[in-house]
Order: sequence, then C-alpha cells, then structure tokens
Amino acid sequence: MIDRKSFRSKIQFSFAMAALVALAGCASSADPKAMTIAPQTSEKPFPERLQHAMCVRNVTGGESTNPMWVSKVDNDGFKTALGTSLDSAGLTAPADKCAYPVDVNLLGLSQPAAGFDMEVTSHVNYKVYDSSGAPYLLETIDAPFTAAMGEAFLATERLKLANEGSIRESIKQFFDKLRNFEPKS
Amino acid sequence: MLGGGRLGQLLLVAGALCLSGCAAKEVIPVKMAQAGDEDLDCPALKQQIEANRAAAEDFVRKDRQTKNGNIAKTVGMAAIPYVGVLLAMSYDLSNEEQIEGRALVDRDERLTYLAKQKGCEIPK
Repeated sequence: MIDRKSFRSKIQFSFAMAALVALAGCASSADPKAMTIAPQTSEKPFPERLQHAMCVRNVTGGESTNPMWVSKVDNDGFKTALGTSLDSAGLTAPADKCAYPVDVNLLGLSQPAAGFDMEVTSHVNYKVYDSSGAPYLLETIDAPFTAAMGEAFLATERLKLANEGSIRESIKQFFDKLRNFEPKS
Repeated sequence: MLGGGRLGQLLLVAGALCLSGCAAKEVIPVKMAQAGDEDLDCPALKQQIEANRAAAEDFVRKDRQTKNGNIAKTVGMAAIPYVGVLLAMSYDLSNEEQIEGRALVDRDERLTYLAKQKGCEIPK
C-alpha cells in the first residue's frame, strides 16, 4: 500500500514539474502569416476610391522578441501582415501610385504574466491619409484575443498565439472601419 | 531552506494563482480622433495639447518604473530560488503606461493638425 505522505509529495512534485515546464520554453516573435487576414466573400465591398489605392507606409511601436522574455510583435512582422492583408483584399496600389498611405502605431500589447487561458489585447492606431496628406481615417483599435490552454501547452507558445490572434482581430476591425467609413465632404 | 514538500506547496499556490489568472490590467487608451474635434477653438486646442503633453511625460516616467520593477523581479527570481516563480507571476506586462502615453502623443498629433488648419498658435 502506498504511504499517504509519499503519495502526496509525488503529486506535489508532479505539479511542480508541470509548472516549471509550463513556465519554460523560449519565446519567439509573432509570425506574420498568422497575423494576416483573408477576405470573406460575404463581406461588404470596400469603397471604390480605396481599391488598389492603399499601401503601408510606416509601422512603429513594435518590439523585437527576446527569447528569454515574452513573445512580442515587431514592426516588420506587422507591416508584412497588414500589407499581405491589404493585398488579398484588393486594396494594394501599384508601385508609386499609393493614394492612401497607412501609418500604424502599435501602442502596445497588454499581456498576462501567466495563466491557462491567455488573453492579449493589442492597442493600435491606424492613420490613413489621402493624396494631399490630410488625414482620411484615424482609428484607435483595441482588439482582445484569448488563446486557450488546449491550443498550446507551453505558456510562451500560448502567448504568441494570443498576440497573433489579437493583431488579426485588429486588422479585421480596421478593415471593417474602412468598409463603412464615409468621409465628410 | 525549503524542502521538497514546501517547494511543492509553493508551486501549488502558484498554480492556483495561475488558475485564477494573472490577467493584464484593462487598458483604455485615449482615441486619436474624437467626435467634436473639429469644433474645438484655439484656446481649447492649446489647453488640450499642453495637458496631453504633460500627461504623456508622466506616463513615460511611470512606464520606466514599471519596466525597472520587472527587471528587479527577474533579478529576484534568479537570486531567491523557489520564490522566483511567485515573482514571475507578479510581472506587469500590461504596458498600461506605455500605451496611454503613446496614445496621448498621437492624440496631440491630431490636435496639432487641427490647430494648424485653424491658424492657431501651437504650443512649443
């Protein structure tokens, strides 16, 4: 028969090891492909003036990932994700013909320190200008996304998934604003 | 010195904390463009620009303190075995001050543009 005290310490040891494994693992940067959105055929079309007329000019505020720290979203990754999303939505302008440049300021990611289900909220300012340089659309988008425990066992990986999902959600909301925005004449 | 049993108990507590969630603080940054912006007159624009600038500087200072606090916890984690796990869970990764500060800088960019359009004196 198993001694109760010994059984308890084995259980505790297992929990301790599980906690250490969950906390361990090197952080990696968000993957641009996982932050890209694909258009849905059922969605409302974009205003005609924006079609084949946009480009991503600048992305600021992103951070590179320190493998010993936590997963982040860097400027190049965000720029690639937004550029590819614009492209697949038919919004990208031919070279040198960008009438509506977009500047993005990634204000930051609100990340949890730990947890089973991890919710990350990205806070992003999207600034769309017209060809005269005047602001066409200025949007602040707060986009939460939760990566559940079942999606990845390692906390570092779960946080990365939550970052990626949050940026995807942010781009989706930005596109919805573009679709429905009516500039004042 | 902590024995295996104590270590296990500590990590169980840590695990329980994890279950309850070490969620990030809710951050609501100021919107860049707001309804009624176009109706602001020169004194109102000047007052808002100056107030935002002061608040943004304050946020930058607080953000530095939070980041230094996280670094101190990392050092503590390495220096104090076992307790480090608990310290790791008290990291503040919400970036609240950074987000609020940057949002105010962008808000000022918007207000400065409007002030220029209206020919207002822009605070240096």
